[in-house]
Amino acid sequence: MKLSESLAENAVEVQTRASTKQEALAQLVALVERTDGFADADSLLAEISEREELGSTGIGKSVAIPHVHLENVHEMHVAMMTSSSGIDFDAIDDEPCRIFIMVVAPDSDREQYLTLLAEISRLFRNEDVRSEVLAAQSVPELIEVLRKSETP
Amino acid sequence: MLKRILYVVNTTKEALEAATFVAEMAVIADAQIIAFGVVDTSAAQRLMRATGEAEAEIVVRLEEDTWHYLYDVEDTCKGVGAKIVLQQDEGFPDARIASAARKFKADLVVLPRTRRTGAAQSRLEKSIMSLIERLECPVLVV
Repeated sequence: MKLSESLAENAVEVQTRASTKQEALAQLVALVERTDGFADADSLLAEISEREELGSTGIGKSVAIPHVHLENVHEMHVAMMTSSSGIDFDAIDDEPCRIFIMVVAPDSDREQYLTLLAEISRLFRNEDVRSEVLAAQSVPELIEVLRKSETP
Repeated sequence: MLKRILYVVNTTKEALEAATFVAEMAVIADAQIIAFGVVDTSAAQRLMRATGEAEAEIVVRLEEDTWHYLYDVEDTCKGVGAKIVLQQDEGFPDARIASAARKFKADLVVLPRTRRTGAAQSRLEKSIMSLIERLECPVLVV
């Protein structure tokens, strides 16, 4: 499963106005809520916030991947947004985050969940990919950048 | 006082098994785990020579495998309420681990015991000795 294939256009936001970590998480949850078959935004925000308390999902190099697997979710839901100014996300390298990908998966599909997280993390280690994603001015442009950057 | 534990995650099942121990230790000490994976570029070159596969493709596979194990360890730690962040780097493992231990001010470095034989075991022992010499904090092999 590729990130570009997992993202619905209505679950992507380019240059968000969110300016704090809590606003960023709430906005990502709102984007996930737009995807088909997702209903429980309140419990998702609570679960994601609880996870962040155990340690930031900012993996460094301006990238954060908040993620959770839940019992009452039946398929994978993914949302993405970018921030031109950057948001303090308590990342381990102390750098503000500019690229955010939220992954919500069913408890029953742990293997696919881990594989998608691994692929996203690997993809955004690449500086060229990060630069092109941040330069994207529209959602279709951003998804096209992902599509051409992913391994076949 | 134990505040930060650098847990070196490699792509072995021993690393996943040891994660439970590290997670419980972190909870007791109220310490944060920095789960750290290194993509071993020298291993990628050895694989390239052995298989003829392009180095870039091998590195992509090793990166994804390492992240996969890191997220698996994170899931285990989260299950017992341990504080955890993930980090990955690439290069020579002992040098990268020593650098990460300094950068993140680790109080303890934990390495998973791996069952290897022959040349691989010898390389591992050499690497651990080199690491111990470079580190200012204790090393625990689980």
